[in-house]
Amino acid sequence: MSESQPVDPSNTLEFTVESVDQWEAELDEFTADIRRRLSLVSIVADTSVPSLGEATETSQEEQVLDLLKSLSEQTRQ
Amino acid sequence: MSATAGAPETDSGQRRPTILVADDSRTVLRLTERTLEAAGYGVLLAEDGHQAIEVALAEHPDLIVLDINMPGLDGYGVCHDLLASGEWNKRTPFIFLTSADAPHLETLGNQLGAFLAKPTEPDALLDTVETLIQRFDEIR
Repeated sequence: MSESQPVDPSNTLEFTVESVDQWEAELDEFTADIRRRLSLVSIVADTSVPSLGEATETSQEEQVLDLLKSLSEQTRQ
Repeated sequence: MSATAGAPETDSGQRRPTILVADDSRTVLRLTERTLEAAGYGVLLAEDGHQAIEVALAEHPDLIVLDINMPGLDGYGVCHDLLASGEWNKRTPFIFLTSADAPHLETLGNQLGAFLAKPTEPDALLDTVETLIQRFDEIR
């Protein structure tokens, strides 16, 4: 068994629970919070994608223009 | 209808953002104009798509509130022609303010600014305008 590493207190979470049910509820809440934070990170990452490269931005612009043109033509019909 | 109702500066001498509102309903134009002016924005008005393009290219507003269903050239066409014109700052945000119910409006709103369904509460409009104009100021 490998030797345990010293734990940085700033990287720990402390729960005080009185029952397994309460522990599960705390854990569910914690997991939901982490999922929510990860989804926010994902949204931020998505919005930064167009600025990563000119080609991506140009392609996205062309797609938007095509969509607008198509929708405008549909509205006219 | 006159196309301009905005002034370039606030009392303190700061440039105030100008918003173009394009809608074929005079009632919507007037209500939106009143809401935006009360919040301190300069307002330009257009009653149809062609007028919207003309005013937009002449005045280069900081944001466009755009109806979709308009006679002549619809909101999609306005947006397309401005973005394809080469004379338009492509980062200028649009708010699609419309009663048209279509899933692609959400997508377009996310790409080009925002989508708000009519009827929209004045506070919701102002919140969206403020957010988009701040973002535009940072990236223009």
